Amino acid sequence: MMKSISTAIKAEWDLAIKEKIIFIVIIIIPLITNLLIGYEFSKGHIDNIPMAVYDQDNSSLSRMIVKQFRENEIFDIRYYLDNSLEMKKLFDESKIRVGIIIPKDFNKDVTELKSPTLLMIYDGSHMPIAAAAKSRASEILMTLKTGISIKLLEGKLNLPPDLAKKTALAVRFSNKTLYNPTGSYKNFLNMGFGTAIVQSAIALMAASAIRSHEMKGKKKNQIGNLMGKVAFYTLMGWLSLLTSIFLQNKLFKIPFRGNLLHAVLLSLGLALSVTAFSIMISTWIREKSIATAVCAIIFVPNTIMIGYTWPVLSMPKPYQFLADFYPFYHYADNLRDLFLKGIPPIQIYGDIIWLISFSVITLFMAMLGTLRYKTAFYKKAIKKEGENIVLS
Amino acid sequence: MSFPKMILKDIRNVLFDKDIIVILLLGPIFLTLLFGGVYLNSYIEDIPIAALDEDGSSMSRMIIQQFNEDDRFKLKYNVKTRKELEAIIDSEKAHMGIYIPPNFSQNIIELKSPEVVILVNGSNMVVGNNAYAQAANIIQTISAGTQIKLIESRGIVPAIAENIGMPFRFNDRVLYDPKMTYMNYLIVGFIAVFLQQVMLSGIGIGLIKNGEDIARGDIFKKIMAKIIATSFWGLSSTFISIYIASRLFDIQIRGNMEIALIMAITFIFAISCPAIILAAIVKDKLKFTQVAFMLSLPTFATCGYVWTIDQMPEAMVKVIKAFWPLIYFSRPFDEIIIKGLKFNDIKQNIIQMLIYTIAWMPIGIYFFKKRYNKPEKAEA
Repeated sequence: MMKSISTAIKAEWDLAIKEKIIFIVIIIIPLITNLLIGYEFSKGHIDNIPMAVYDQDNSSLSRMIVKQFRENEIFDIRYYLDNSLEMKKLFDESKIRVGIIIPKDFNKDVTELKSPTLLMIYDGSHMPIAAAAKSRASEILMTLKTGISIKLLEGKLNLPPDLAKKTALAVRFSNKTLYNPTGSYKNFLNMGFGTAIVQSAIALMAASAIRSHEMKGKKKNQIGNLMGKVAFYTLMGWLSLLTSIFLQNKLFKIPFRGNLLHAVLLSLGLALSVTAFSIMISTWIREKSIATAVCAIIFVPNTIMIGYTWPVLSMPKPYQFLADFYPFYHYADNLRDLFLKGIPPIQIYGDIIWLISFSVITLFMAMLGTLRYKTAFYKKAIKKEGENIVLS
Repeated sequence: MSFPKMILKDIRNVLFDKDIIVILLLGPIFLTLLFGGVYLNSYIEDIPIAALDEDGSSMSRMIIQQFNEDDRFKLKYNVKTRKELEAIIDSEKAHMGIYIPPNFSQNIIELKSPEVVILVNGSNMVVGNNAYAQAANIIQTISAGTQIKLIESRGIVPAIAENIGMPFRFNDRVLYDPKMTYMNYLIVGFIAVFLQQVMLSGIGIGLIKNGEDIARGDIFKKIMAKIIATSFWGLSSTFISIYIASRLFDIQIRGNMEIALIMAITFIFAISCPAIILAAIVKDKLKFTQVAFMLSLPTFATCGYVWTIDQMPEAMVKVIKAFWPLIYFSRPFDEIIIKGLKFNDIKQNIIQMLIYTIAWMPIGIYFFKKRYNKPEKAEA
């Protein structure tokens, strides 16, 4: 059996050298993808959101508000307008994503304690930009509001500055965002995208790895052949996953706070389970393009289905149930946590055991598929032989 | 054979081809339903949170109750120490923690500005941001209320106290998608990528199947006929998917579908260029399928859809624009449908796609002809 395993590995390696597609799909495309997304998200944050201002008041207070927005890196004030219709037009043409309208007599109304209202407008069609703009604008306006409130307390109630400040800040609250304190998209997305492409590659190549002409010979050799292919694609995928982790950490400076060994073992678990599953498909579905399409539909959209961005806890129940069966579900969040926070071994081991169990079960089904494959292959051969006899 | 006859022949071929119907028509519809289901809930609700109340006053209990009563949160743990609080967030049993320090209530009365601490697990930004934004709302409301009460306690009438505490107000108006949902943000982009994938596969595999035949004679007309025939199913599935998104997933269609159609047709010709080149390089249906599937993630991630063009490094935008046309199509296509962009707003993108097609199509055809006119080596 060992011999047939090593023969299968060698045969697959020779094929990879000759055809190159295996290298291109499993190593080169993921490598380029990792470089592209690393570069694309290198800035990490949304900034310079195009903005328009319609200041009907044009007072020192309104100018101060506008100045706060102008000096904030999140916003880029590109238009100062004279009417709201113009602003609507700019929104409709996607030339701005944020707008502020300060009403007439704003300053006067504030001083006369009439509590005027200013209007913030956002383009909600691009959710992350709208969310970033909204949260920063609220911060700016809340700070301004507190500042004005302090001044009013001093002016109208004759409170000393210190007391005015303490009254205005009745309750303070501080926010401590753990693990990704700056809210960097790079830290949030890169590892998931960078490794998802590798698992798609493993799945697409392993789905067509079992070839009819190799399915001859003794049962023992069949199993050896199967194991050899599993070993080959697992190793190739593992190497590509580790390259992705290395690149994101070293080249794109995503902090890695966990235990590297855990990432290495977890990646091996993912490579093995995706390979085992795809080879299993390859033994059961002989038509290679169908087997490839089946694996593609299962594995390519994984970042969406396992809740890497939109969390599983907010998906409908059937999706929540389904997510647990994807190997990537047991990998991606753990990997991100290994990068951003470092997690206790017990959490990782649970998922590594899950990945191994998944691999064992699918390998067993792959062996059944191999035996069935062989029977079907011979039946077909016998039938063909019969037809030949009839024809002759 | 005349050009219209050629197209009719190709249409006849693709119209009843079972494989093509599955890939080009049913595939995108199935995936739209599948992905749409993921984002059915507009909000992230019932985020598990933990609380540590070291004050134990009616005020601190009221704050925690406010969180518990909010739809976004579900108070799952009441802990006793800061360590416990951090451990529970660390293990991700809770995504957010509220800490109220000792003597909180007393300190408010004594004007010592006590602090409520919100600990957020930021490793999943979507959950973290949602939790933080809502927590900030709740605390700010509580804070403003407390401030107004403190001013009132100085003998000021409530209405004036309120206006001193709230010297101005601000209203938020969110256009096009007031709820700022993931569904509206992503689904049309996915449909755009499905169109890319089905056209790549449909044209590429179609060309490989009849490569040598196509490479002989009037190759341009033959390839055009193939593209037009394939686009029949590609366009059908795209617009059926949009219809499904609007009926089933409440996507508001504000735009003009004719402009969307013009945009999609131009994109089909543009994306045909890499399909032809790829088909010429790999010359094998299976290999083509493998590479085409591999391209969906990197092309989607870099097309200015999830991360807009103005946020991307400039050099990268230039390189991508030169090599892959999805960047001209996906975000404007979405905004035609969701926001109602006019033809003038997307004219530039259409012109750029045409230039892309004019530049790459001859290269593709030349390359295809060269590869398929060359006799195969003995291995074939």
